[in-house]
This record gives sequence, structure tokens and C-alpha cells, in this order.
Amino acid sequence: MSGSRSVVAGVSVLTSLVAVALSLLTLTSAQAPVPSSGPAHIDLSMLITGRGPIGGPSESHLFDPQMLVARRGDQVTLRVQNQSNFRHGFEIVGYGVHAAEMNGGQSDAITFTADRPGIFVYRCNVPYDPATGSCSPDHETMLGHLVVIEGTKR
Amino acid sequence: MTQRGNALIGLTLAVAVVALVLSIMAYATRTRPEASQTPRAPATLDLSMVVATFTGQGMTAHRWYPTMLVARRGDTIDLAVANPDQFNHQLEITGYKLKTKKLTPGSSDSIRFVADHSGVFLFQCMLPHNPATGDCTPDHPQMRGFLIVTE
Repeated sequence: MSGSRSVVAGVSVLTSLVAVALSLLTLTSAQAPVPSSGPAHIDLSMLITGRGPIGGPSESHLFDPQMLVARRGDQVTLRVQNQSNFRHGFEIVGYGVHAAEMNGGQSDAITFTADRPGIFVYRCNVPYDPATGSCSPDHETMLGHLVVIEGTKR
Repeated sequence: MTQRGNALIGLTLAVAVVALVLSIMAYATRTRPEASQTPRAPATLDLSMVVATFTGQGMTAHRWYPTMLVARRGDTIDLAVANPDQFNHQLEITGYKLKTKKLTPGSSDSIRFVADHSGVFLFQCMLPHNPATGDCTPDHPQMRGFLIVTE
């Protein structure tokens, strides 16, 4: 009787040891995917510039940079500065983000959280109107893209 | 006493068996980080970067071009940086502890590194504006860009 109790106790101890070993293995292997660092703050200038022949009038207007990349959750600050001779704006279509209308030489800053992944167009939201000095004939091509990627592996 | 002892030992065995079964289940369904992913080979990104100048409204803006670099963790980046501007500039990627040599007008340098940790990393001009030495320009704080390294 006492012998069988010892056997049962021994089996219990062995089983427990195996369970503990397996638990430790599981815990250590589950930590393998290294999450990337937390949300970052992307603080950038966004220029509105005009380009044309040296000494001549600007013929094309563009945003610099023309592509922004952020990870989902990152905070983005854009210091928009209008260096051209016309009034321009800046909006990210589908993101509910826009700057104030800016005359030449004016600037505005916007901050938003890139909370939705995808590819979004940004553009000038002031239609071309030569009578008021609003934007320029190449209004339709003042475009850029915001690319919001998933930052960490699922 | 013996009966209570038997019951206690039976309970211990039962608990041990339940623990074993649970741990086997947990071990069998543990997450395998790389196994289910399609294997990919690290790439080498061979890039050039320049100090770009934009004039208008009586001022000249200086910016790193391109402004955003994207790589996957493990990729190698070979970055040739040129300074066609008339002032000195120097690129540093903070967080990666990398920098070019001081880029005098017309000079260039290249840095090569493995993007071995993921995250968002600022790069900027590390020469504060100093008109006396021709270092950088009044818009020095705006000479910024970002390197994004994904998993």
C-alpha cells in the first residue's frame, strides 16, 4: 500500500515537472516576434514650390515631399509653407485633414494621427482662378500621396 | 489518516495531469513567429540623396531629397549623399548613430548599413547654422526626413 502511494507520488512529481518545462518553453517561444517601437512623431516640412525656367515665371507647382510614409498610429505634423506666388491650400483627401489657405509666403502647421492604413492623395484644395491669384493652371497635378502602413506584424 | 493521504495524493496526481494536458495544448498551439511567413531575402537599396534647394518668395529652402526612406528590417541601405548647395551640410541618422562626413559644397559621401532594427528614425543636418563658417542655412531646423524600417 505504501509502495503504490510512493509510485503515484513519483508519477505526480514527474508529470508536474514535465508540465512546468512545457510551460516555460511555451512562454519563451511566444515572445519571439519583436514588436517595433511605439508610435513615432513624424515632424516634417511640406513645401509648396513653383518651378520654371531660371528668371522666368513658375510653370509647374508641386508639393515637396511628394510622398509621405507613416505607420498606423504614428503622429504626423506637417509645416506647410507656400513658397510660390499664388494662393494654395493643402488637404489629404479622405483623411479629414487640411491646412488653411495660404497666400505666397504664408505657412500653416497641421497635426494628425495616421489612424487608418491605406494610400491617400494629398492635393491643393484651392481651385484655379486667375482673377484672384488662386492656384495655377496646373492645379490638377499638384498631388502627392500619404502611405500609411501597418507598423507591426500581426 | 491513510485514506485522507490517499485522497490528497490522488488529487495531486489529477492536478498534475491537468497541468500536463494544458501545457501540451499550449505548447502545440504556440505562435511560431517566422514559420508561417513567406521567406524573403534581404534586399540592398542603392540610393542617392541630395541637398535640394527650392527658391521662391525671396527665400531659399534646403531639404534632403528624398525626404522619406522605407526599408524592411534586414535590408542593406547604400546611401550616396551629395551636396550641390553652396553651404556646408552633414547628414546624420539619429537612432542609427550614422553620419556622413561634413559635406562641403560640391562634395559627397556614402554610408552603407544594415537596417537591423525597426521603427521610425529621424535624419537631419547636424551642422547648426553658422554664417561665419558657411555651415548650413537659416532653415536648418527644417532639414529633416525620416527612415522607416518595417518588420
